[in-house]
Amino acid sequence: MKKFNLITIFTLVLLIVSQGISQDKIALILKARGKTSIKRAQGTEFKAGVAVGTPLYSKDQIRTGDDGYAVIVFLDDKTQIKVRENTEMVISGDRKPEAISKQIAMQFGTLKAEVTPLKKGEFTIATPTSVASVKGTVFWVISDPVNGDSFYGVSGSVEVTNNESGATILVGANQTGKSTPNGDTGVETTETGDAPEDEPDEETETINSLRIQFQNSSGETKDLRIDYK
Amino acid sequence: MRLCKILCLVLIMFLSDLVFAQAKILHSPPREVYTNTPVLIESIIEGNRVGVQKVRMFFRETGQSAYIEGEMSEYMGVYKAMIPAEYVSDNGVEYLIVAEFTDGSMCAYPETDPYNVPMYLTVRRKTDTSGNALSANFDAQGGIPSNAIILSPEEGEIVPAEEVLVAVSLFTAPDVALQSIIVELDGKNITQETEITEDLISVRPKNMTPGIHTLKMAMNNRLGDPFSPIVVHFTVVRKIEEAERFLDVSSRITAETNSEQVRGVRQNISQIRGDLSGQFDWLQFNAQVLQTSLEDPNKQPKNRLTASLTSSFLDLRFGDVNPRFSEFGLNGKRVRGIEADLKLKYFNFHFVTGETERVVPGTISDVPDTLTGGVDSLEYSRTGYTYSRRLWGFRPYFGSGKHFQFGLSFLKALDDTLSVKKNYGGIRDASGVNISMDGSNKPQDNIVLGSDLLLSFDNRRFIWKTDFAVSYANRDITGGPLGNEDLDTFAPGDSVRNDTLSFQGMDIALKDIPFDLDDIGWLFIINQNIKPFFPIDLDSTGKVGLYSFLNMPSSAFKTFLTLNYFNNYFTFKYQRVGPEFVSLGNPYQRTDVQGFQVADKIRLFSNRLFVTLNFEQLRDNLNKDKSGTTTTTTFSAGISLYPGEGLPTVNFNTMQYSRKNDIETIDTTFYYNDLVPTIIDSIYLRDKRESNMTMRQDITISHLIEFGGVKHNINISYANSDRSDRVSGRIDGYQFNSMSTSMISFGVNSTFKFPLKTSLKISNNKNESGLAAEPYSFLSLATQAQYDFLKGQISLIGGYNLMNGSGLVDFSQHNVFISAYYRFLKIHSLRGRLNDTLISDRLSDEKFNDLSFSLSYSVEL
Repeated sequence: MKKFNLITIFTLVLLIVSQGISQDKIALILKARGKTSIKRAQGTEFKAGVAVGTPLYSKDQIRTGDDGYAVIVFLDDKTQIKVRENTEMVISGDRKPEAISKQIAMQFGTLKAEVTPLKKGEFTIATPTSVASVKGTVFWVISDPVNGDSFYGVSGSVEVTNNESGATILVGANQTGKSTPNGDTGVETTETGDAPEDEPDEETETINSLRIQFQNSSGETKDLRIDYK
Repeated sequence: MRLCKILCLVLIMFLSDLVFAQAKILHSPPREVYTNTPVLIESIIEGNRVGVQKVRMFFRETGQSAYIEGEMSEYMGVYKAMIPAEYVSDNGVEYLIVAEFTDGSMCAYPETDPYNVPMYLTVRRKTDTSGNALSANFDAQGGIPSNAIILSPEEGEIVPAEEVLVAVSLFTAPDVALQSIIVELDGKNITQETEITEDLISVRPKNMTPGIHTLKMAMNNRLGDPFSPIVVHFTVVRKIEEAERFLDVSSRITAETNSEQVRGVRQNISQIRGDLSGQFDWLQFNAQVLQTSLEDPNKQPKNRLTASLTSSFLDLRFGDVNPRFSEFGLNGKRVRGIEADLKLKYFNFHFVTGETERVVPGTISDVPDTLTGGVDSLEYSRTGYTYSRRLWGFRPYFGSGKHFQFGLSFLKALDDTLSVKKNYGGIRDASGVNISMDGSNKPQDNIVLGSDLLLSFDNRRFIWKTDFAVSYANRDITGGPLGNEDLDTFAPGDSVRNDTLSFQGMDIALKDIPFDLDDIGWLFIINQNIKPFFPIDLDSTGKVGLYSFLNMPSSAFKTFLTLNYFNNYFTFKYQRVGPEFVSLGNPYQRTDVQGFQVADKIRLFSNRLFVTLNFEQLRDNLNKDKSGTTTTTTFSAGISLYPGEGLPTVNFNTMQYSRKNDIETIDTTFYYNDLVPTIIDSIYLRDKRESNMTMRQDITISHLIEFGGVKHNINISYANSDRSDRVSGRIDGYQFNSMSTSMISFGVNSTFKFPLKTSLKISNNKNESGLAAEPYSFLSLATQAQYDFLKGQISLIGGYNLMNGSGLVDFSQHNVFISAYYRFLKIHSLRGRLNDTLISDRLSDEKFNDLSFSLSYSVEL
């Protein structure tokens, strides 16, 4: 009986502690636009209307729709994740006193990771196809469960391991790493225009132009262009 | 026995450090001075029999050698000037006040040796009623780094209004006392709206208006020690496209009017201030305007106009600028003109040109002072005039200054001799009428050549800085350059017209001089009034030796080393400024001084205890041309104790200043009888011996207590200063200007749970001078209450002040005031103040009831 009580108390304490840990903030929503929704670790469904400043806890999920966009910043080192449209991911963090070990489980979509050079902890992005391990770099990921993953290096380098074949590639700056569901991998130089671009900070508006041509008596012409929305 | 026959009249003259008029400056030092907060200095001139020409305040951060000059503006008999916040640091502030009168006489405060023993103010770190540091220049380098991470916004970031988020992570700063956190946005406390948790501080400010905003965050650790404040400037725009194209402009316009009555005399002052600043991509611009009704063409300008364009590689400033080249040549002097600084990292070029003094015609006596050469010749005296002075200079310098910088500088200042028109006020300088330019204000010419070197290593823990400059000055260029034909009598002591220039054993025939002095007049005007005559003494071989080079009378040298290691902030300084060094770009540099300073600031027990030690020794008479050499020695020590939250903070400082010369005998002059030369008519005794000591101590105790939900910040301070003579055997009748002052004050600032703040201050200041007939003292009481409505949109403030002077100044003054502040429509604010003062002057048996008011309106766009 006494032994049972001890085990019960120990289990309860463990549960409380683990619950406490899971409730620790690990990141924050810096920007949220368009269709962006969140599902808490304990939640059962996504809730739309994510507000700027929303704290994120371990195992929270973020999903963006057609025009969705979000920026997530981690509390320990200011590492940022810029989530583009049509993306879904689970954000996990293992809080230790000195750092947060970060894991992004990305089901599909596009994101940009700006990872602060890590002194402690680690940063991984896991997709259905690959696992990318990072020590400090900036890169894009486009993940598609059918066609595989593309990693576009901007600076630093990222190590990508294919889940199927176990093959590992190192993707550096201006390089594109491919990892497919059938186990193929490869690295090549990034062609201009291939890599995604940063989300304009706000949806752009169409700029219309009005062009008026002036001509003087000697036939010289000058154009006046007026841009308007 | 022979002395018995002497018809002697013993005249005893005591020498003071300044030639004092009968006038006296009355001044009560500010009681509470906080870091990075401007300090208002006020004074009253009493007992002057002639008009006040001007009153100036000189101030410096303790430890600096040169003073910054500021003219005190007179407002109903009270002279006021502000010590800017950037000079108010933990090191303390020193200042003095000098009044000049129209007859050329002066008086100063402190009265004795004011330049060497200025007033010293202990500066405390600013805390609010919760005991939190609002400005945490805590350690020698500006505070304890907190390790807090600013997540948003970034410095200089441009953010759309709907996305403004203030977020600071405390993940790596676990020892922050959460209850100590204060968040301010544009000076407004938004802590209440801020969500503060153990690992995150975040707030989404509402209704952010486009423009530049400033976020400030102050916090303490769990021991109560303040961290360095977090300050972030960011720009809010309506839409992001605006941010991409530009744009970032903010402006503020303030109009205010004051109508003040003092002792029955009313004076009205109005002024308008404008400030426009903005940023276009890589370019920042700023414009500031001050227009005041105090502007008077017969005084130096009070209006200010400044415009600047700054970028990472070029700074351009127009209007009233305060350029700095180096410590000796040009160091913050106001110039109305153009300043340009080209910054290309490895090669840089700093240039300035403009006017430092504008012409002031002065006054000519209404009736002729003297009749000379018969009744047809009239002589008028002119006083209070100033020549227009132009200054230009350049400084090419190499290196960014992060680790290395070497600069060379050239500076020239020249008075326009024609700017003060001879004919003025209907009086013409003509045959039979002579206008004499009285006073010592002669038109001058000055050039300064300088160099400076900076080395910095180990993240600025090691800094070594050296400045060197040499000057040439002409103290009177009224007659212009000397003609070559007059050069044979140019050298000191050479009055023989022999067409040969003779000096230092050399003879140069005038016909062999290959240039005319007129030809180089554009660079420097040479005539009999230049100082020094020759900048360096040649040695016996006719060459320049190293000793001669280092001891040039018009040179200045300073080397400065700082080491910030092992919780010690150690500084060593050596300086030598020759007696003939003159820079009109830095006119208040102390000259004829040589000496060193050693100081250390030690941080102990996790920055809970600071110990400051300082030793300085300086001497004058570098040219050995004075009757004695005076050595001043200063030793000061201070202890600052910050034991932690819930415990009082204590600051204690002590200073010992001694001044001693090497004169050991009494200067005696015998005046003999004209008819019987063996008979002494009188004896004139002058006791020039000097050895005195000034002791100064001050202690301040601050403590925050909470009682009944009300936070009380209690301050108690005591300071005293005493100057005594150490020379024994003074001659009869010698009067030493001993000085003794003491001040004790008590203050309590209270913050209630509802939006009420109150303060109470009581202080007593007693002054005793060996030359004054009787001591004088001030007893003051100040009470104030402030109540905020509508979350601070409206504030009402009321208070009562009492000042009672006794002794040399015998009066009582009761003052009641009420003021209101109203902020409306987000960008407008209105302030008003009504003030009623009852003065009862017991010396003159007069009573006054003075009603004053002020109104101010500001708009921020």
